[in-house]
Amino acid sequence: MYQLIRQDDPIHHHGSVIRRPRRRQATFTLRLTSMIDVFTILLVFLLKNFSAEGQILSVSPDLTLPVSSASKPPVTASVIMITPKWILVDGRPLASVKKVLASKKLTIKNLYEDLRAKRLMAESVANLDERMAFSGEITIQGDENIPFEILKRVMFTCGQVGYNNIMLAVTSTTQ
Amino acid sequence: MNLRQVVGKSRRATDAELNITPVMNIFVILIPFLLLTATFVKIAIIEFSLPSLQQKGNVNLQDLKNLTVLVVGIKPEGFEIKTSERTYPLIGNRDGRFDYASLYARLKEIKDRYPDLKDVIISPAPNIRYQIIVKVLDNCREVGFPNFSISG
Repeated sequence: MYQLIRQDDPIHHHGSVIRRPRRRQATFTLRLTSMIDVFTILLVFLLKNFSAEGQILSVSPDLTLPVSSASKPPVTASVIMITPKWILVDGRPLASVKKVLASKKLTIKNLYEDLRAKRLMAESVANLDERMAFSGEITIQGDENIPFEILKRVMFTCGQVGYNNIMLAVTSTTQ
Repeated sequence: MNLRQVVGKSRRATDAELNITPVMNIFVILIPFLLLTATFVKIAIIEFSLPSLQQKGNVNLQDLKNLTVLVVGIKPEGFEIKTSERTYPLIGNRDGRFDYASLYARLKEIKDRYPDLKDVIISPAPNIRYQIIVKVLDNCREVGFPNFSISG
């Protein structure tokens, strides 16, 4: 304020022939207050939903997980995806939903064979190292619109092979 | 000493600005980093176990007799709740939607009656959507029946 007055003050500029706008340049500042406000709010928000674990599960774009109030974090396990059209294990399509629904059998043959191979593999690893014991854990990522019939058949097949600890992946609403 | 100079000096002291350059540096680095690692969709799991053949133990017959079983049936027309003692009237749909509020109230009532009961059997009809099953599971967990099994 004071400096501005001094610049416009006729007494001080009267004598000098060359006007030097240096002082004005030196006092020029950006108005950063609002920008810092935005940054601070952004920073707090981003730090709040920062998770150090990263994402264990990745969801395929053609399926929408159901919404739930569950808050248990996911653990690493094989993933069975049930999209509206296909049943996939770890990304490989194994059976079409339409065919599964058309069949009368409760066990899904391809899924059964694949899971069985997985179990044998896990068990042979477990023979080498006790820490890698077969836990029977498997994650099911199902689309929110699949009927219970298909879910039942997938779960039944898992149970047949020995994957008894089923984890249903859901979108969590709790923070 | 000039009065003006004295006043000017003290004014200048109050005009001192914070040096915010380091703060800005932190912000500029942290914000892109956090934006890149941000996960806006949080995935959780609902855990449950299928009955396995290896888990059979000694089952006391007396225990079995006293065991209360709670079954929540999900049908296209509503929820049907049964315990081993009685069958509750069907909770019908309201405006074509499942009535979760009444389900919650009913489950709460059962929980008050059997405080030790923790198990619930969910029995959906074949054409019930997955989302509805998950919602029923949520309701059960919130009331206090965390161990559930699904029966076809």
